[in-house]
Amino acid sequence: MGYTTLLDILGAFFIAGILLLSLRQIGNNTVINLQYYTKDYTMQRDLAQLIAQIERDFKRIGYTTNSELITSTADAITQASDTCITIVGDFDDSGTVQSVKYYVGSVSELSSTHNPNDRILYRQVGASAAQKINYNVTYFHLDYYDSFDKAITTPVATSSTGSIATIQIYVRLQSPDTYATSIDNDSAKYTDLYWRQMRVTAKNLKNR
Amino acid sequence: MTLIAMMLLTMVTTRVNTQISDIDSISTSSKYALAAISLAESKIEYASNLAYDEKTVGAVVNTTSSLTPVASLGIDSGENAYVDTTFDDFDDYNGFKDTVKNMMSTVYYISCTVNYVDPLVNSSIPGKTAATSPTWSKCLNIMVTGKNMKDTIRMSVVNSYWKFR
Repeated sequence: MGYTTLLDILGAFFIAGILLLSLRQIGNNTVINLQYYTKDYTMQRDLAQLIAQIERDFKRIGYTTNSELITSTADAITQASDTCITIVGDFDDSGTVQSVKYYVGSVSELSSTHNPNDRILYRQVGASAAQKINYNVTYFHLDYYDSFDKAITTPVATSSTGSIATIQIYVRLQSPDTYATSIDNDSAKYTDLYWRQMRVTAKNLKNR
Repeated sequence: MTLIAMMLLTMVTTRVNTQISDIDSISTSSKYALAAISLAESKIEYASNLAYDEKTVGAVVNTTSSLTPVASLGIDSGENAYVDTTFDDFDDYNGFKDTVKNMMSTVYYISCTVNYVDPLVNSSIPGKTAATSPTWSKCLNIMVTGKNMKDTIRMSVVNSYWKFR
């Protein structure tokens, strides 16, 4: 075996080593990316569904075919704080009005997750059991404004809910668990999504 | 052989990196698009709650000729073109531009146009065909772009004038 052949074999081993190491790294990165994008996709889908639900309800604040059932904005919003709201309307077009309450639970309810800030968002119709509509909410905040766009201090007194003209809704979702930014460095990162929307409350009441 | 192996390695690595980068770009872009949609919908919501026309703010209009002429759609006296909370009617949003800096660590640019539309003309595409004279319907077109967004979010809403008697 000549010197050149030996050099060729050594070179081939060296290249094969680099190739194998690269393939290993590619495999690791693919797993990390797959994990991240799956979480990200799931959360984007969850946020879209959550917002569709919130929009559906908030559009119907004060809606009823019998105007005597809800006569003012005060009847349409019976409770308003920065993390909780109870709205009233004929949400299922049944001819009767129901109340729908949105509120977030305590962080201790999801203490089993890595994320210390995630909470459950609840939707409660009337006196029935509250539904858990999202498990990844880290921020659910409501701001209220009067017809002059002046912020109303929260919690809004029951006697003052009639002055609410617009509601600004903030929703932030984060994944319950972290994803590794690299295979050797499991630094804490959460997939993160944000939604902010202004909704007018008095539309159904104004059109009378 | 060594050179071919190196070329193969380079090609595989480049291909994988490109794919990961593309997926990352799509995912990030869709996150920003979600936030952009929320901004556009907020503008639609706010605009839809305003009076149909400057002439209908405190009065009832019976003929389209009494409405604001096409060329005059936009802000009226006493309104600030950059502050939509000073607007009092739907077409004040014509030419409105806004910049939102405090969302998702990026900057969003919102621009709006309003034009009269005839619901009976090209009704399958609301707002696509602007009417040349005042009608009972106006279309608000909103475009939202962002520094980290690949696509422009475009949303439209038609607002019509009606009154119970």
